[in-house]
Amino acid sequence: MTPATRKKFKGPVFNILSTLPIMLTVILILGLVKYFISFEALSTLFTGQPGLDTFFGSIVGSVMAGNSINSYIIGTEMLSGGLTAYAVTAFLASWVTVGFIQMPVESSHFGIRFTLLRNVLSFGLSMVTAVVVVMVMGVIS
Amino acid sequence: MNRAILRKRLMMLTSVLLVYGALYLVDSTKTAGALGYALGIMWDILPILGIIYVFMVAFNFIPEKRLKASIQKTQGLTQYLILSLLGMISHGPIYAWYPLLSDLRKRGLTQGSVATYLFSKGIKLTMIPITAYYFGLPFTLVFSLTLFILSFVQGILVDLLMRDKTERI
Repeated sequence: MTPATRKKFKGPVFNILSTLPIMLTVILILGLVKYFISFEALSTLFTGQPGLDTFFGSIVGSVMAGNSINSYIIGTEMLSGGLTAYAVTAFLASWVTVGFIQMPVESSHFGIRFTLLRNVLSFGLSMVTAVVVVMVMGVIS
Repeated sequence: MNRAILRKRLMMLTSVLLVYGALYLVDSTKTAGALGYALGIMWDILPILGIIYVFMVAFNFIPEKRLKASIQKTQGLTQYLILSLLGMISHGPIYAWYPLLSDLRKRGLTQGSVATYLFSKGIKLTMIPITAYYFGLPFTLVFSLTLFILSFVQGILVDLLMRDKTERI
């Protein structure tokens, strides 16, 4: 194997390994968020007002990250707990599009300006998603 | 990557481990649960990192000029569309894909396209049956379609707002 070919195999290993410490940090923080921040405490933020509920739905979804199935289970609980469809949809959208906890890893790859801009835009678009989806669902049903 | 950055990252990891240690003294059950949860995620990520490694090596074997030319040839909406579709079918957590995306970014992928990919990862094609089980098929389809359209908006906005702001990546 020539040195150039060896470099083609070694380069990605170094790239991935250099990301690992910060990736592990984020994963460990995710564990803490899941076990130490209770959804019940966060649910006190919701007032039933669509505008504010959409905003707080996006906030909660942005803070709580992890497997999407968890967001479905929590989302169903939110609905059965009487929260508005705006809050639940914003929560589901921001769960998968905003990554406040992952920001250190993201900025180490793409720069802080891109990371901040992308997450702020995603946060805004998660609220847009909630409004559009609830409106379309209202028309459909 | 220089040693100072690596040291900073290792210090962050050590700090979180120290927080775990402190929390273990306060509530050992919850801390053990959090650690178990984190270890589970790490275990799930390993095969994804393997796939990403294969992709990165494969891209290294495509001549740099040719890869740059093909990325730059597919600009604008076509690039957003390709990246949005790739985001929809990709598996694993978002951060596992950062090394590959930053690699492609250095080869000409626009920042807007990266943002499109990351946004459309929110659409889980394989999870549609599960989402439909929880929220119904009409909601699932409307929700996914809205995210798909907004992934383009995200890409356009990022490219517009990041224009002329060349950033070291």
